[in-house]
Amino acid sequence: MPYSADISRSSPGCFLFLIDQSGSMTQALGGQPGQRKMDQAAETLNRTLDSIAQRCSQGMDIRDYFHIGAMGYKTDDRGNSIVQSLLPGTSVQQPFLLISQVVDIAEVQERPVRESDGAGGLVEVTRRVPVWLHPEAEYGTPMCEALELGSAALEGWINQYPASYPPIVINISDGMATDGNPEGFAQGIMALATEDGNALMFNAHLSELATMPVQFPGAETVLPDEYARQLFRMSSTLPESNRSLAATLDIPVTADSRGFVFNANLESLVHFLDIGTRGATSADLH
Amino acid sequence: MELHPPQTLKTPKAGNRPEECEDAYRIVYPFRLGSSGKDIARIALSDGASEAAFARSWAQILADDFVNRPPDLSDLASGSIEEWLAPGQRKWNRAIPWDRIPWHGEAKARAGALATLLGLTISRTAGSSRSLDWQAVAVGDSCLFLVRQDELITSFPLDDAGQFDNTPALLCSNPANSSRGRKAIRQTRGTCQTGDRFILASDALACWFLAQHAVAEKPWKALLALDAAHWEAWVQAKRRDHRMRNDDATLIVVTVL
Repeated sequence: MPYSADISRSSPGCFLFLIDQSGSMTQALGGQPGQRKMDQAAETLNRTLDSIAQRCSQGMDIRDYFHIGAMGYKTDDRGNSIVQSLLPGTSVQQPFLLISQVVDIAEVQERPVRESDGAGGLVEVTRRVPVWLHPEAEYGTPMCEALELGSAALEGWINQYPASYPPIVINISDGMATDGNPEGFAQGIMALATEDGNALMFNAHLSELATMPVQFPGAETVLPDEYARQLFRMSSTLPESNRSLAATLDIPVTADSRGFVFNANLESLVHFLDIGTRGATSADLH
Repeated sequence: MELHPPQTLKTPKAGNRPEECEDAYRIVYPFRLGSSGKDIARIALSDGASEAAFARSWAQILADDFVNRPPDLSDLASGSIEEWLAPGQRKWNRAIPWDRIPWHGEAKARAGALATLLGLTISRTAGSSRSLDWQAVAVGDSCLFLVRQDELITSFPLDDAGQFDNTPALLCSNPANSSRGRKAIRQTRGTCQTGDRFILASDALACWFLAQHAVAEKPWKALLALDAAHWEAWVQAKRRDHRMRNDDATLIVVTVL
């Protein structure tokens, strides 16, 4: 059965994040006053990496169940594309670090958060929050080139780990590629495969439209504009094993659900992967 | 009647080091309680949830506590399990280096560690020298199998490979999060006789066992033939053939003589 490979240190999983850092990302995010798309893009990456790290944490140490890569894409003022690997010491050819290395380079901030007081109320407490990416945005959107370079990096990773759970690409963008139609490049990524199945392409669409957030839809007709519909078409259908884990976390998904969110939380995707026995309270961590 | 010294075999998930194995057990045999006691063995197996933090120490505390100060099995349903858990929960909490936990472990540590518990007590039957009484208690998916005359006569608490998943009810080291495990306590009891074999297995091994039994195999034959020299290779082969999930695996065999 595909998408059933064990995820362990000897058979790691892989996440590659592609972050749109183009000028349109400075626009306000729909329905969330004071929040720009680029703020949300950085937040999505930071929260998703935080979730991955927490899942790999044993308390004091981290087990290297995942390899992580992150690439940003934008252009200069003359339209020349800039696709760069965002993790220190990496390149677009070799963008991956072990999750323990990613944890080591986090900037840890203290932030006030409101949490349940256990008696039905909320209490404000200070918690440590890891930050890897700060908001940044300028000029054009070379999404096609980013997908192509991401695909090449993943090919190298798959050659090293041919039996692993297939790599997962998470593209965080408002759509609007300025270097062509990205659909074919996304299909190219989805055509890559390990022995356990095809690479998974997921998209977090950040839009200025203030319509209802959408999480893991099954059809593009529910989406409000062509940019969202295009990113939906560039998203993989959630594998059955992901869907059954989503169901145990009370996240509504159907057989047609794709790895696509519209102005909505994406980090729950991290919990769709099986890395071992989770208890009754793991789902409540976030 | 007596018990053959229990045989134990344990191996971590492939990719992990032996000291990272989150299965824990404690066995006291032969049990000496003094003249008034009738228990002759207590055996506990606990499987710490791999996604929880500090689960290994919690699993060991549960196994130790079951053997050293067993819960009152006649009274578990009424809430006494919480009283029984409390000293162990405090011990776990005291052992956590709260001021040194990195950010990634903080939320998990606050939520508490999680582990299964399978406890087996074997005791003398009043007025009979031809049988022994046994009682078992379980929370989660660590399983007990009783094999008699080459037949499986008890499978507890699960009896079908389809019942295993990644979200079993578990006992939590944080009292605030222990309600689900508390509601999931299962108990059973019976008598055993010469030649009976008790097999205790953590989930991946137990799931393999039940899948084999479902297709009319006798999986205990393979397990009873294993020794320390062959165990690792046997588990690895089963994982390689996708017949067993890659997870910590523990086997305990108790034979009634």
